[in-house]
Amino acid sequence: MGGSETNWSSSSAFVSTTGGVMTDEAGAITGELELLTRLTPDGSAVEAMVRYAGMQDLYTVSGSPVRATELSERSDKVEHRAIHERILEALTTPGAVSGGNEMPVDLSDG
Amino acid sequence: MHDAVEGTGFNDGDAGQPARRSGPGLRVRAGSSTKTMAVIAVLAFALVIMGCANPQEKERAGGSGGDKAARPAQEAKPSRKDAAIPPLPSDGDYDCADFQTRAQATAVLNREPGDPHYLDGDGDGIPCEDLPAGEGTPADAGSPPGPATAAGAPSPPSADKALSMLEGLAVGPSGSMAGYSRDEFPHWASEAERYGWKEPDGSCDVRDLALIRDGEGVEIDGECSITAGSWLDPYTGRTMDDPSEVDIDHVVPLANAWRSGAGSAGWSNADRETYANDPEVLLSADAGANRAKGDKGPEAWKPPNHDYWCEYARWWIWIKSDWHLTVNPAEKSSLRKMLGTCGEG
Repeated sequence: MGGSETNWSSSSAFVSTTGGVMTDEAGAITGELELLTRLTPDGSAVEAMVRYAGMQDLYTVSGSPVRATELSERSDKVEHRAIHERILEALTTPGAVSGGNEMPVDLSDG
Repeated sequence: MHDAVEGTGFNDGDAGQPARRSGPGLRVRAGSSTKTMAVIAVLAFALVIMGCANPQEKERAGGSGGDKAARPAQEAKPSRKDAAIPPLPSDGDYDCADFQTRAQATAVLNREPGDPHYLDGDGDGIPCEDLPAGEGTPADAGSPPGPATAAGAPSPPSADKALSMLEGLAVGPSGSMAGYSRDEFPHWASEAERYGWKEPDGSCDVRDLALIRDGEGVEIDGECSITAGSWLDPYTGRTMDDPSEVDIDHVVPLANAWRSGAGSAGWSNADRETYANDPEVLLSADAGANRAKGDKGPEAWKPPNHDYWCEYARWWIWIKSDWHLTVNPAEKSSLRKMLGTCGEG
């Protein structure tokens, strides 16, 4: 799964939770996915996108971008990587069960 | 909202007309070069009958993709409603798809009251309830509306029939998403009639027509913008008055279809386009529920409204069967479980 390193600073392959990852464009998506993150131009936040492994279409993870302010005043590559890992953890942690279904995970609640 | 998110709809007010697939030929996919001639013939025939296709045609209509099973390359069916009872299919078993009208199916049921063909799955004496009544059958002879079903929703097969269709589905692991893109499934087509939709207005696209079909009291302006109406979301049981809260769901999501056959070489782009615009595949649903459902099958997402489980399973199976898509073992098990709620009232 090599992410396109042209624009996206970090990429990670992962398998979704049962509930999947909530995206703005397509709702929940599941299965073998790839997370791509990059700093916003002003460095204040990290954008997170996912796609089906190896595919082109990118979907915005709901709740993206994640603000980086809590980390430090300036986001550098190290911090971006740390945020990337946190996002990955969030997206691979099963969501709550509601209405009998495991809910998709997103980045809106922190 | 897209793919994964789109939902299906209900057939508006058109009691005798369950969702139908567009002309049979449209869903044919050439599984092998040997079928090419037949496919061409079917396509040509479809052009002739387009516009008068009957619901049931869809059932047999596509050689559907995915499945390598030897399906005859689609016998296109003429749709004369008053046609005589069709000949017994070569497999010796009538299916509702073999009839143009319920009257024909009733004639067969009367001839064979034991119902060896499972035409009357719920045993209420009315066979093939999805078919238009046809001659000699009261127009209102259909089944009573099921629980939490929106007004115009198409009527999937009975529970017994669905169970038998489920047993007929090929079981296998979900395929990969390789090659998938939403662009592989062009939808919201503007030439909706081609896919079996009834267009009150030429400016409507498939999405509009699903909203019109599935809503109650729907009003449109001259450009087919929805100006009024209400929609009962079967997934949650919630009624919505604002069309912006309504998604049109592909009941079997495009990504799920892709993984279960639509991504195979046997499916052409035209097949996928037909699928994406198929009245039988589309359902108006609460946008939030639809987004949570996403690309998931019933093994990972079931309608929060348990009263809808029975119909949802019947519908899911209906689509998978008609389009010759596969199910994975967990999916099949979930479908059985949901069918088990049928008759709980």
